[in-house]
Amino acid sequence: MEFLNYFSNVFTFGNILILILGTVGGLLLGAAPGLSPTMAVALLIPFTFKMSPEQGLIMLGAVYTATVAGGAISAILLKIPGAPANIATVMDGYPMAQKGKSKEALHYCFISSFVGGVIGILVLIFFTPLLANVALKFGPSHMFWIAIFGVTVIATLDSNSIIKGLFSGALGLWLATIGYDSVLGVERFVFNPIFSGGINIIAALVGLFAIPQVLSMLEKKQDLSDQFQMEKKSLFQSMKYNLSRFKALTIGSITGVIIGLIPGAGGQIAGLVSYDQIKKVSKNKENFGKGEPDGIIAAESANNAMVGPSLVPLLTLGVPGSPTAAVLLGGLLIHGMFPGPNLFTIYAETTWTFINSLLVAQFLMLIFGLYISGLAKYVIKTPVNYMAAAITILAIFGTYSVQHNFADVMVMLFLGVSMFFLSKFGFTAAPIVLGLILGPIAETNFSQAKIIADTQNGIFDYLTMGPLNLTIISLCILSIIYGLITEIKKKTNDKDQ
Amino acid sequence: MIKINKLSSVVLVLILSILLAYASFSGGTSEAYLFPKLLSSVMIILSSFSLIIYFYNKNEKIAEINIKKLSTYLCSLVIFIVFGEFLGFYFLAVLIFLITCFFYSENKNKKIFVYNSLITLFFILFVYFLFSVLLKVQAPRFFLF
Repeated sequence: MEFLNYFSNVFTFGNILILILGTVGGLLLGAAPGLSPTMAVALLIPFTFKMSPEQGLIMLGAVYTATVAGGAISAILLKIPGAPANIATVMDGYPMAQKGKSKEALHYCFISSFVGGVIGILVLIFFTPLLANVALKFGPSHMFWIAIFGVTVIATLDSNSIIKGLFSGALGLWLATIGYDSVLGVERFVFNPIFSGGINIIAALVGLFAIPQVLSMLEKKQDLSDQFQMEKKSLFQSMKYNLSRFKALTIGSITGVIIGLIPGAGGQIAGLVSYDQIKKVSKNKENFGKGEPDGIIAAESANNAMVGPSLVPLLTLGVPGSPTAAVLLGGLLIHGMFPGPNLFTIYAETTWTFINSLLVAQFLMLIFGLYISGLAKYVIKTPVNYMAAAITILAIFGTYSVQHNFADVMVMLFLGVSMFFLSKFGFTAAPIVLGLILGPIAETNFSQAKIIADTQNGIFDYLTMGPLNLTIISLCILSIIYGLITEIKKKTNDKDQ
Repeated sequence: MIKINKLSSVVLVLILSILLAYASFSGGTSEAYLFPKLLSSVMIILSSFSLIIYFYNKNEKIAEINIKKLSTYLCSLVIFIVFGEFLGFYFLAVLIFLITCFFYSENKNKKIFVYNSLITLFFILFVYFLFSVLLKVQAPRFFLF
């Protein structure tokens, strides 16, 4: 209960002000296409130079928490996930908004994010030393299969055809190999020097989701307000319903905690795996993808439950649990704090104040998030031509701000227009984006596994032996079989009708 | 109007997988190409499956693209890609915003143009404040902005 000794440190005027600024700023940055949690934290690190270590970390922690939740705003209202962690939220969030339930969907999003976030932080507080050992059990072969599992899950979930879904996932993984090989340093598929750094993930995320949506809006020339007739549902009703969805909240939170502990996995896998799990156990399987609240509840509770545990390997071993945690590591180092046991002895006051502030940030995120939900109607009432123009400009500037590289903007626009045409052929963006995000994780771990396997019984044995490998492989196969069965059932039903 | 049917979808997948397989297998013998080779092989297998499945189904129309309607917007994106670095982001952002607002507006008259210009001005000022002032993003500029 050491954390209680430092709880009052959070409630100084300066710290609370920083928490509020970080939370509100994080929610707004998260909602803007292209401004991901990783980028928001990275952009704020220079601003924390002049702050005390405590205040700097409080600011970064609040922004991290709020941007993950804020990304759901554009995911629900515009079908553009603010961050990779919100990809799963799009699947039921946007259909709910189309049914006139955008405010309700945003309520579920923030309430679930709060529940998941609090559980994740409590896990961070109480189980840090124990869970650090679990994180160490994941080797290159397990990480490779985790990345493949992420791609198979999205390929089966977000596509009408499992072959097209898997093809899109493989295409994303292939596109991620453009540039320098991370292990051998060999340059591959660099047809132009602008691609030597590979395809930037944020540029791909923004392009693949935002530009096709803009083109689709202009092609149909249909105002969002024509589709979305706002239904009135009180916050109390939403809260009551949300908390009654115990199964979705539990699955989401537990999945988020487990995925958060795995170094490098991140919120996107947490959201997708929990969405997949709740869909499998739900009685209303056929409603998923058409605006099922459980889909949002599971995905959002998972991606916020991941935040706390993703800091466990970071604080104890110096191994970041997510890309944002990796940037946060930079924030710790610039204040002279090196991860490890010292954080809980020499720097105990700063570390526990930071962890406690994450807990308080969850409450602030809920309050301000719910307030922002009430403003959703103004976004929806915006005429389609203004909306299209605004999204395009924000996408361009958001993409450019990541690396200050014009090539990223070109890639973003090219991928976006290509995705619009590909969507007409029945392909979806999510598997390609996830393939691009997980590609480096899959390839680096595959290469490392090969190097280790060459000294043992060969790559096949190394990748397929051991209970953990077999469990993850079984999950991959099961998700493909499940996707096939669902597709066959759907086609049979369509023929009968 | 471009019409798309199931056959064109299968052909696209096949061409794409063959191109990527060619790029992967002609890259060299370095182990750095092992992972792309594996992926392109998987893509070839998947595209073969889609070809087999196609023969058991009808060649139905699956979508249409109204390219004429989208041409103005697409042209503005091309202008941005070609002249973005020379004419500056803010200058071209104003252009894209005005073009998209005006050409895709229901009513096209002088009053609407003035209204759109004001909206454009306020939005670009907001973008300038967010990115240049708050986040210190140095976007390429033309003359004054």
